[in-house]
Amino acid sequence: MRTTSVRKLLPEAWGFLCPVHTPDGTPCGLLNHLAAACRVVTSTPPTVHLPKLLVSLGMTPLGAPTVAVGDTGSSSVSVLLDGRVVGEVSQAQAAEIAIKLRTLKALGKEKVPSTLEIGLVPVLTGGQYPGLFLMSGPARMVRPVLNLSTNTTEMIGSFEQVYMDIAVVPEEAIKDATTHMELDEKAMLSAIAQLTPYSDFNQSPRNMYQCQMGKQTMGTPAHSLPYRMDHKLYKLQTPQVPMVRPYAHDHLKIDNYPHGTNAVICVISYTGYDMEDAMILNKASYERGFAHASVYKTELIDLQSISKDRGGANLQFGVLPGDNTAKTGLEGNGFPPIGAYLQEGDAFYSYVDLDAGVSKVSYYKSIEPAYLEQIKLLGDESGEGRLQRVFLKLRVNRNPIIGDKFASRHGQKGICSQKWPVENMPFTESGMVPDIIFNPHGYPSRMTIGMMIETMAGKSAALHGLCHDATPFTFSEDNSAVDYFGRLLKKAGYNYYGNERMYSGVTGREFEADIFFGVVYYQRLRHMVSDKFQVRTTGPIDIVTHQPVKGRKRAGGIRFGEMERDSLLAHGSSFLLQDRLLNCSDRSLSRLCKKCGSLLSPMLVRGPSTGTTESSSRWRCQVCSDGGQIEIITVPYVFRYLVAELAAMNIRVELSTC
Amino acid sequence: MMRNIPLPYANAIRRICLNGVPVFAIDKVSVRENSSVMADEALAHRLGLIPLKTDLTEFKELKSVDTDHDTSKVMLILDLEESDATRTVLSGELTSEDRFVKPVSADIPIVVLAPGQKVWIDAYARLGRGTEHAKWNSANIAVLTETDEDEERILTVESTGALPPEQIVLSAVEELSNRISGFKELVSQVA
Repeated sequence: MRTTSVRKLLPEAWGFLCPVHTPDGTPCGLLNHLAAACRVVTSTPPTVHLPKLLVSLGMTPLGAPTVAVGDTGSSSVSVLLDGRVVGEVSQAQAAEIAIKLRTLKALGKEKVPSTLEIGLVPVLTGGQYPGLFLMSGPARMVRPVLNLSTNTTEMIGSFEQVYMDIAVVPEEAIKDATTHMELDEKAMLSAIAQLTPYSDFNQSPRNMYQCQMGKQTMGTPAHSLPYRMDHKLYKLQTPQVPMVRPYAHDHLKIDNYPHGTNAVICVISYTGYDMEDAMILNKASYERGFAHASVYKTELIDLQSISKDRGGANLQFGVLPGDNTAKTGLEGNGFPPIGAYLQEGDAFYSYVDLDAGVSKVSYYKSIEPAYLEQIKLLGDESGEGRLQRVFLKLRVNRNPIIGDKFASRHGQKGICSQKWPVENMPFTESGMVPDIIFNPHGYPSRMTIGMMIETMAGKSAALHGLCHDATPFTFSEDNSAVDYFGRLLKKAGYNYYGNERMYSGVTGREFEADIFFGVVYYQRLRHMVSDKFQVRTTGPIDIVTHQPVKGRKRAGGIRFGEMERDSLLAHGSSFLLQDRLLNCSDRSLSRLCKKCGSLLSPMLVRGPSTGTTESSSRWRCQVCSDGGQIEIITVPYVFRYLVAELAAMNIRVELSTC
Repeated sequence: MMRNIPLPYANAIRRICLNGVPVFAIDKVSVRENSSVMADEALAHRLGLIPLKTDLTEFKELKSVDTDHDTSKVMLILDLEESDATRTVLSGELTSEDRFVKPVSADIPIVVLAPGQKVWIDAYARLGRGTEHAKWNSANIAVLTETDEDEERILTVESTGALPPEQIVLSAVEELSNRISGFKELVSQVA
């Protein structure tokens, strides 16, 4: 879909859909998220009493005799309740009824449903069909706003919103026009977007990126881990609660699910290992537990399905008395002990074929070692069935290594490029050493001022022992965030702007420039090299083409495609071209009849059976009457396949020999 | 304070203060029983990070990991019985077989045990260096700052508590001179 109009955030969607929480690129504006306060009506409140109430407010019920009134200027409009016409009312009265009804709704009087939508469409040229449209049914989105006349919170729907006058802040309210006000400036944001600290300081795409990344963090996925058997679950082993936190963080109780670490960062271009979104990790911080994490994997072992493969054998977990359990490390129940460290090729579980009286051991196949965390025995509904299925939960260590992804809460992601020893890290006069070195080139083009504010806020929070509020729209031009945190830093004896005099750890020399230094909450993202690296020297090949297979799981290669080929051609590096595309791929030796140019005609013909010597058989061309002239040539194996396929289509391929 | 010591030397001493002086840290752990919520390796990691008081006169550094000397390692035992209340296990509950090599502070939390949970661990501490793992860093902080006077610097060392700061600096200087004489020997062999 190339059109842009469907992707726009229209007035009826304001406050219901988050303007920030949408992906960039193809699904932008099509894949949306609800604003945090938005609710969907799921119930059907009683409405039978409403027509009567409307009549008491001045509506003319349907079928009532038309009373000729003096004023003929304004024509009447219909009143609809859930799509059903319930009466008529003059235009002037319609507005009056709407206001009265809304007041009753906001006050919760006369049993007017709190989620009733009161859409008054005025007569406008080119506008929607006029009338008073009341909606009470389910599957509508509603959101809370402040009704200024009653001073209560009212739930409004997306249809009526367009015809209402809602101010965001008291200053912009227009006298005699504004009837409602937003509860909060940040009410337009989704729950995840509200978790970005100082998001009002950032360039908007960065906040969008953070909404994507916030969902990819390794953190605290659940507290019920012993009772869960997730296929794959990422958990940070040493999480911290952020020192700089927006309102939503407390409101949504994210402290119960921490998803990052307060890292000391130093904004400096230090060794070159922090270029292009790379970042340097302090090795000592890592060794002391910085961003340590685990992946919990669960495997289901079903003896019934194994039994099916083995012709319905009668299987049971366990070992036989004669089995060498000392070697396999398995216990009598057929499993390794809890906490066992499993490496590739170690015994994983064992089962006994009761009919045949033999046992079979299955081995741990992953190259990544793991600890056996838990074994869960699965029965059936009655609880009386035989034990045939178990869950084996494994814990894979995923402490940070070079190539793992990290991000602050401002759409600033980076890859760990080096773990630098403490003695090489730059240090401040007071002896502080950063956990993370962040490249200053990450700031100018991305304009994540929020991250700079967080750096200062985090630093002052650590110095004063505070937690700072990072809710967006709390600071202003008159009350600037930089000044607030600058003063706090100054009070603690530090530079107003958060800069510090630093020394190189390698030479001990003082840097000419003062370095921006502070504390930022860093998230560990679940994209890790261990899951992604792909490497191959030799390995499996395709049986048809004899070329290397593709795919990381199958130890395949990465395609050397047309563009890569073009590049080698352009450089004139023909040796490398041949090496990549022939020698390292599907090079093969084949016989060719030089006379007729056929790859298929050479055949091994047995000579007269005079003896057992090999020399009696020789290669002859089956086409050329004189036996042709057979040569051995190097061709790609696929080419032979192509020739055979073409032959099947009755097309002859002739190689010219010159 | 250092006077008339060239920056490269001064910085070398600073760097050796951080990672070049051997101290004790728990290195090998046998988990006999662990029913706490903490995984074995996480518990071992926490034990490793507890700073231990170090006596460099009685103990020698291990030359290779395979050789087992009594003079190079110390066993510490953490054997906790189940209790009726949730409690935090502190480093003071580690019993050391050596009277000197023991945790610097008795109040370092190790793990929280719920009623009915039990931990029984044999831990072996040995001398090591910060270059190998941060748990053997002799000093947390070693800073070299410049003063207004020419060729005058202040070296500030904050110890983990394993060794007194003066001793770290002295050992670092000794270590540096050893390295330099080692280098001198090497050059003389080549020449």
